[in-house]
Amino acid sequence: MSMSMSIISLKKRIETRMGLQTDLGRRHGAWLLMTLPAVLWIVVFRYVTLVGLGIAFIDYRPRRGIFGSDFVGLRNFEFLFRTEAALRATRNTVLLSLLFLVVSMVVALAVAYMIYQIYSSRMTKYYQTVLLLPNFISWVIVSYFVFALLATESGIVNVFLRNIGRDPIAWYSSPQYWPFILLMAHMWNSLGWSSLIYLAAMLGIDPQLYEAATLDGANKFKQFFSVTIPLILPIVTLNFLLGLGNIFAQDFGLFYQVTRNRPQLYPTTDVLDTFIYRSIAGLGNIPMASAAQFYQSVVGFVLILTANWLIKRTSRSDQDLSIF
Amino acid sequence: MIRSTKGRIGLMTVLIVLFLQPIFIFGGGRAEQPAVRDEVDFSQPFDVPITWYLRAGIADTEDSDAVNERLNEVLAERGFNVGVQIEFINRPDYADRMSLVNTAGEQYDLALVTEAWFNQYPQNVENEFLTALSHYVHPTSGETVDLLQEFTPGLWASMPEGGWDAARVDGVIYAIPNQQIWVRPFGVSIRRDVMEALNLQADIDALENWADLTPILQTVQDAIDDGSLAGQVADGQNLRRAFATADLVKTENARMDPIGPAGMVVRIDDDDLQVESFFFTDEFEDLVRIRRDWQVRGLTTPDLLDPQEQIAGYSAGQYAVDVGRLVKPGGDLEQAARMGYSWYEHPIAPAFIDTGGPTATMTGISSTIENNYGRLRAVLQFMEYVHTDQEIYNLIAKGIEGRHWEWVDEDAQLIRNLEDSRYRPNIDWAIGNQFNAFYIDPDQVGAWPETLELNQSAISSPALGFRFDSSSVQTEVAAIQSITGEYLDPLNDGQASNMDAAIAEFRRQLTSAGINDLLREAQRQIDAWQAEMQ
Repeated sequence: MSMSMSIISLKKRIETRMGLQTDLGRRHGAWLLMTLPAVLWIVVFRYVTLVGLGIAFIDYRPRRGIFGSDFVGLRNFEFLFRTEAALRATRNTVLLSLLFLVVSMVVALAVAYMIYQIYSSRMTKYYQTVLLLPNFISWVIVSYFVFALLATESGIVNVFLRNIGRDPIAWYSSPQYWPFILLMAHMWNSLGWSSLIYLAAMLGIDPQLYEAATLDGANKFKQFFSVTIPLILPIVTLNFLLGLGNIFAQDFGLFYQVTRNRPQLYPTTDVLDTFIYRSIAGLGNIPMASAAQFYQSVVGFVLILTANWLIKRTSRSDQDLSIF
Repeated sequence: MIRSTKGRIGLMTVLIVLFLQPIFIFGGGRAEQPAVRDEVDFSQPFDVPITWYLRAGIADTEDSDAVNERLNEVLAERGFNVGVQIEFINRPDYADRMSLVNTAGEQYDLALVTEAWFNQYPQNVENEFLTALSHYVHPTSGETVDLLQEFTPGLWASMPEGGWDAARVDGVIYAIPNQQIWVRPFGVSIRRDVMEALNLQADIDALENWADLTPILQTVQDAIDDGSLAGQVADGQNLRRAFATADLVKTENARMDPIGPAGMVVRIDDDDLQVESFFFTDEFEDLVRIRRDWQVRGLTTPDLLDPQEQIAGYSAGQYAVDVGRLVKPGGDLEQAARMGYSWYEHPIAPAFIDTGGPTATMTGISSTIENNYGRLRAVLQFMEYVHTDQEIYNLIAKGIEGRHWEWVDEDAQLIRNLEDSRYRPNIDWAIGNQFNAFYIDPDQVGAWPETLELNQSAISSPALGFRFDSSSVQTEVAAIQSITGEYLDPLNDGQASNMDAAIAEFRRQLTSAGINDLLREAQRQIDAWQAEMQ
């Protein structure tokens, strides 16, 4: 329910952006008025609260308030750069995020296209539900699924390996396998949701275009690259840009729970979120937590702006795919 | 989607706090401030009763309204009529609720604080959320007074030596320690039937160091492996390994007092107070090597289990020994309640009191009432009752006689919870002086004097009462915390396959993260503290 609404609002947003140049007030006055409560909410809770970012730069004492506490410059940020572990976490975050972003984009597009091809069938609903369901399962529970598969002594995978005469693998102390395992978990969790967005975009394509392509002798692959992709490119880029913005703020549950927070796996699984949690959990240090969040947001923002600028530079003049 | 729900909860709490705040502030009523030693009149109810936040399971405190009502009646009989309200906050919510209450400046009177668990004492002090009880400055006259010695003489005298000192931060007491077990003699806990079947009691009673535990664990494991326990003990066929939990690598097990973060310790027999890092000592190496030895011998599960899985395994009869438990009078009963079966315990680490013992759980008085001297005096009087009046203590801890519990043996102070009682908070240790509590298990009778005896007879760490102020080295603390988080666990858990390399790498990382700066700062602080004490 809320998901289909999000898709509608997403489409609306794109349309609104395209129609922004028209005489806004006269045609949409009533609609704009209706957005007022939401706009106020955003202004109050998303912009006024930005003052709180100041906490990252002060020695915050709640009873003295933000303006009464001492200014300490960048001291709260130091721990993010001080150790080898911090640098490793930064590297892991960027590499894993890019891996997730690219692979899930490719696979989600492929899956969406496949579902689109059998759209008339009753099975579509079934496929969608099956793909979407994992999205609602908490990472804590997933971590037990994974443990049941990978436990050293009684895990399903190792039992299988023993049965076919291979040596079992100590999964929870072998970091080299984990980028792949985490990628699988991430895909399993998010595929339904991301393919749904692409499917919605594909459904908006005029079927006559495919008929024309078929008459011209294009097979399904050719149609995909020449008709589908060009037409849903705005959605794909939008998704990509938004994904880039989150590149520094990974899904904490995936990296903390699914790995069972085993230190032996840190070389490939320790990302900024888990590193920050490990560093300052229990210290009760609000400024350092704010500094970490601030750093992640700034890097995300810079990445979006850069990618947006690149896309703007490289798009054809008749089709601007950037968001700003 | 998840984000937006969070946002909405945040909005609601902010709105609630904003709306309630004026009520709390103005509802308190600011009467004339009495002078420092004026008699204060406790016969008139306050507009807002004294509020005490405690942490308990919500299902265990459903009937708390009746208890509050009865509590006020009993207090009124003693001429104390200002009104008291015990507020139980559900366990998982307590830390967040208190942090919200404190940062929003909501007025309250008393709250449970702990040394290192939740609503932590050091953070409360650093953020000025608590009233300075031993060095209180009167709001109008400016006179400094020790509120505890002046107005709670019974409570002051009831505390064994070391209790008050442990609560001091830079010499000032900000909260009242609860009396419970203060020493932490860690030891071993073994299933009684397994011990008897293998005839191990004499060996266990003779245990004095951790290395000697190895042959005992090996005996248990051998008996599990050859199946000889299967018919002899309860669920014997379920037994898989000697143990699942081994909390071994601890400073207390090496006769060291942990005085700060990042493994900073002082040896308990070192009166010169030389600060060192536990992780660089031979004792640390010995302990991790013993733990690794157990792992290699296959005395435990190859993968580390999380605590819930461990308890589930023990409850299912898969393991027979629990290593590193705090051994205390009545502890075997707690163990049985948690995991089933009957247990036998023996301490191995020495019993000594360090700063974290007496302050493990405490009651703090909020700084939001510090300028309302009349109210503060009432709160102190109430604390005096809680700590010295057995009827009042047990009313809060156990509920109402006939409604929530009944006597089994009044002379032995033994009670029984009533079947359908909707009040059993089970948090004796959070309320005040646990040694005033009625016993609820026949085997528990006599545990309190024994525990008190342990507290009083234990040697004190020479650093008792010293507190490390980490505010100037937070970056180093965070860096070292991230290092210990990564390298310590594999050593603790016996998972690191190459011990020498793992220990060397751990130490190298600690050094490069600045542990020496931290040790220098701690040494400077402890020297200053010692100079001040003399």
